[in-house]
Amino acid sequence: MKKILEVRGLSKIYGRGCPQCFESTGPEADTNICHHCGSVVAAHNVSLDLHEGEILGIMGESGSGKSTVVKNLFFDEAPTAGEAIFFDNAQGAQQWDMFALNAARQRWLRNHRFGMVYQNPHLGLNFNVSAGGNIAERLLMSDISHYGDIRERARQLLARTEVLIERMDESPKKFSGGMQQRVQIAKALATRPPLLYLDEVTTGLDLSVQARILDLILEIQQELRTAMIVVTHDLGVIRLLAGRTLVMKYGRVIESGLTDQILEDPQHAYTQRLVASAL
Amino acid sequence: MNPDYELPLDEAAYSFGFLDEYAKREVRRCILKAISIPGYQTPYASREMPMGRGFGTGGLQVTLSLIGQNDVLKVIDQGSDDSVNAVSLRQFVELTCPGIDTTESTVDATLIQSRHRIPEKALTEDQVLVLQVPYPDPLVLVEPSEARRKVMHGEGDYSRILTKLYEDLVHFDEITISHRYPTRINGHYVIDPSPIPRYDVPQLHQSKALVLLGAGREKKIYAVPPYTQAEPLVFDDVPFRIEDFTNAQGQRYACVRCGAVDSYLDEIMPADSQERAQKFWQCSDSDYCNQQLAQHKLLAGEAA
Repeated sequence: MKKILEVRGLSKIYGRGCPQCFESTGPEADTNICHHCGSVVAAHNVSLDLHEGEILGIMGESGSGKSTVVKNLFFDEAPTAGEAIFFDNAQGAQQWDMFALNAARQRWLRNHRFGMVYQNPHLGLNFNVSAGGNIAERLLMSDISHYGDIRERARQLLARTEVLIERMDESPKKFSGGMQQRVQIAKALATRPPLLYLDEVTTGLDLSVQARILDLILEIQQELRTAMIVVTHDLGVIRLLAGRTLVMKYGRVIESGLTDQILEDPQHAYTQRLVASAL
Repeated sequence: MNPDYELPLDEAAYSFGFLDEYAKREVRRCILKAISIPGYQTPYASREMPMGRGFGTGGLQVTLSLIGQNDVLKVIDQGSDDSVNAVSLRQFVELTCPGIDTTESTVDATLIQSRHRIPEKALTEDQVLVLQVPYPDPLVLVEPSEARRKVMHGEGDYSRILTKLYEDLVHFDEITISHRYPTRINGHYVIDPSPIPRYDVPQLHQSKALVLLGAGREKKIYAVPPYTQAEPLVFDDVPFRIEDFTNAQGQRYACVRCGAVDSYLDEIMPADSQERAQKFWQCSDSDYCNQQLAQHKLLAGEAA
């Protein structure tokens, strides 16, 4: 299996930070706020590997830093420390040292190679343009400028994600939550990215809609061999989607391994509690 | 400061060109920068002028910093030399720049300040066109933060303007921008070419004359240097269209005054009429219209 993403020692501090930040926070300290300087250590020393076509789950309670990791990897925010290497197999096995790139290059990677689906459709979609327009925007960002082609691609993508084609020229404002999420997935997939980040995609949707969106994600993974990082606090989602899982608490990875192992035989006390408390 | 500088003969309390020499130098420096980076919006210290911002103060400051004793100035407002804005700006320049010449003829002018039109007659290498700009940034429609707009300009990221065009095509089957059509200069920066109609946009492409655009309220100067590419933003399969002034039968309206069928026309409805039949069309460029009329008279005279 080809590696697609390698993250080493990723850290993110909100606030000015001090030398004691990392020692005075974490699961042992039972906090992620440094009492010396008041900064929030959202993630520290997160390392992970992701291979082609693989789904990696990141789970943990709210505030554990799982979204922060994904936001850093999608260039929504800049990390305090650490490095990430993206293996671009589409262009003859090129490697990108992600955080060392300049802003324009990062934007290029983001538009051409990555996709992101946010929990809140307001972050991922532009509600002032139509559903088709949202997909067009992403295609235009990746330098496709043929109107007929764009329209056709948007139609295909929306059909694939089971959004009614007749409604593609309506604003996503008028759509239900599940449909908005489908449009977001279609938008993220528009450039056929080899790497997709899913940040709490099913949270807040009702169960039948959740199930269909999860089915869609699995189908896409089978079909396009897209590698994905799935962030969620929902153990069911992790169990269904992820082959491997990281468990995070107070910004640290406290346990990682095969999903089955983690859910059936958790080693860390926190993970044990988390699994036991699941409904 | 110009050492040879003398107060005008009337001993007015201001310099030639109203602005003091330092201010003019600063504007000229910004003009040079704007020409060096075609399409880039150069910030400058827009001065208070004795007229409201939005009345052409940006264009006026550019004009006043460039004008010299040997210049012949033409001021146009929507193609006309005689509308209020043009007349008051011309009078102001005449008042503050004693010794310069003004004209209404496009051919005779060396410096042309214009609001919302480019003259019909093609400009030459010896001419400079100054356009008054209300909104310099084409990205303002899609991105409210100026800091982020600057990054977008720097990276040449105009996909969100194109998304707007896409939406237009979806909803109306054509692009509905009638003026201020976003235009890419020299393959990178996209400018708002001031509220000139689509009809005038092709004139910017490989223009022989230098085109300077000045925004007074927004404090920006940008330029389309001579012989520079200026391409309106379009999709590969949807060509750029200009106004064609044809009626339902596909015939082109002619100017009611001079009969021209190759100029940009204003649609005029007499104020007291309710009937569409009384609508007529007239050249927007009054100098062009007059030239056409004079030529017809000449030809008629020869024939008689």
